[in-house]
Amino acid sequence: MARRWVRRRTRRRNPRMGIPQAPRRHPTRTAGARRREARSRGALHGRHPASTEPPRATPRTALRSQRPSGSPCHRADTAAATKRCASGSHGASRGESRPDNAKRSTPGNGTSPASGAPRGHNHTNSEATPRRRATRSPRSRPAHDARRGARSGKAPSAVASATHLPLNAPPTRLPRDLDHNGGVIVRLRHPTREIEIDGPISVTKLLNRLQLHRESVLVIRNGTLVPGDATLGADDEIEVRPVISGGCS
Amino acid sequence: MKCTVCRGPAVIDLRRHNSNFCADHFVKYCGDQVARAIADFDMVQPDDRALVAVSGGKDSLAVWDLLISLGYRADGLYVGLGIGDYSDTSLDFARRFADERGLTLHKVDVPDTYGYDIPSGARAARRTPCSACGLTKRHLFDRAALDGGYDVLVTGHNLDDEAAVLFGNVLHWHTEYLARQQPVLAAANGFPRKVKPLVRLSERETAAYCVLRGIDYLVDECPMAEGNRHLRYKEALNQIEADSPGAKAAFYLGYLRHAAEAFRSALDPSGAALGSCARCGAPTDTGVCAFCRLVDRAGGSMPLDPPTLAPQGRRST
Repeated sequence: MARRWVRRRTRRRNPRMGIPQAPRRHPTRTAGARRREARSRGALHGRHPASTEPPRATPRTALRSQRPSGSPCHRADTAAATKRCASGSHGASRGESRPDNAKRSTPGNGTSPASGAPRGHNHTNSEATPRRRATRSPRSRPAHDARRGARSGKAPSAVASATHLPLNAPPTRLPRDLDHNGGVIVRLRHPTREIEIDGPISVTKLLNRLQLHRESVLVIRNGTLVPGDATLGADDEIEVRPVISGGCS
Repeated sequence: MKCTVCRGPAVIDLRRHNSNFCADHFVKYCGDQVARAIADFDMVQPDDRALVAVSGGKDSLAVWDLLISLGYRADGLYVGLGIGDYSDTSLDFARRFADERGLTLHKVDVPDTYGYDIPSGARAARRTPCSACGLTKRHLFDRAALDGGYDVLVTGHNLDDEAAVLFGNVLHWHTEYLARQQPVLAAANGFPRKVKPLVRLSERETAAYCVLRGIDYLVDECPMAEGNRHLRYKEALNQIEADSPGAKAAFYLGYLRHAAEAFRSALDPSGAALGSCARCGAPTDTGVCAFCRLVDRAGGSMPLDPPTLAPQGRRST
């Protein structure tokens, strides 16, 4: 007689802690599926209460349409990722200053649930929106790739996305008094240039973001080497020094 | 992250050793690795006089500093290649290093002495810049070591350099080059003894050693090295190393352990007999050596009085 497989509905045990846990509500759904579902529920498609426009299908486009045109956050997403909002209404945390992180937020995040009044630039609004499946437009694809790259540890478009500078850009030096907003200042070579990245960030994450191998560079903070797990805080001056030399015969 | 030895704050993590080191223990680690390479391959004897090929970069200055730290007698030789500001800057770094430590630095300037520089010489001779540069440096370093009475010529080739060369030789199965790829080349046929004490240290480790020891070196890459084949090999190996820490060391040191002897024994012994160049006397298997041919094609000329390093304390044989 063939044995029939029966899914056990007993309480699971955390293998690390040995603490009984409640069974999963949807054992067959993956984390990605839950995220996609939450996204399609309209967490990121909220419209301004006064808006009469129909909901936009593209998340990025929807976000842009809600922001005041004069706000620094109205710039391209890459700029917003590297520069902090000058208005300070996003708070100091990294998650609030990044549109990508805002996309992962819950529907109530960023808005006062009681009053419905928008907070800051009203990146996410909790107004009920029709539940519709988001269709991916070509314009939303880079942001999607960026999120995928961030999760997998591979920087999406490296320096270009993080710094506005292509790898073969001519040497540039940003004027400190104009562009330094309290982020991590990173000095790169070949060509020599300085960029600013939101901190705090670990050395490993920084190198992943710049698409650099750990074996091919040294990270120097204020003249001292730092290991891979070190956290680079705001106002740190960092040098990413390449160590690969071509002379070999 | 803590130092594997003393549990203090670490400044560098070495994934291939699964270790982290503080500054003091990392410097000690580098010295131990170089001492181990010297001992394993019988590179330098305690009373040998060594001539270090110095470029002003991290590897040459690190190996010079390490040899001095280990108690060896070592002088430096800088070859000016006439690559614009890059050569001038690199000479400044080499000279500053020697002056700060009271070391002897010899200098041979190719444009002044032989009448050509590497960029124009490479174009005229239809060689790649790295080929013309390597040929020039090999000839001048060999000659200087012999004329100066040095027992051994030390170069700063590190683990990444050797692994990249080995990778290229294996890709194309250059069996003759594979037979000669050794950390020690014995003195023979008019060539000096050549050693590479940094074969157990990666480029990142030598650069970190320089930073921690306060050695100011030329960070910028040679402008002529763009598109160098070995750079691509190094990138490929670093990609492998990122996924599998220790792969580079296993590749190169495993080759030395398991395969080098087989290639060396298969080398044609008739190649050992070399003649002398009709112009400069350097060993060659043709009438005129490759360096003299390069000088001719580049429009230069051999000096009537070739530069020689004054023998200082030459050992009697």
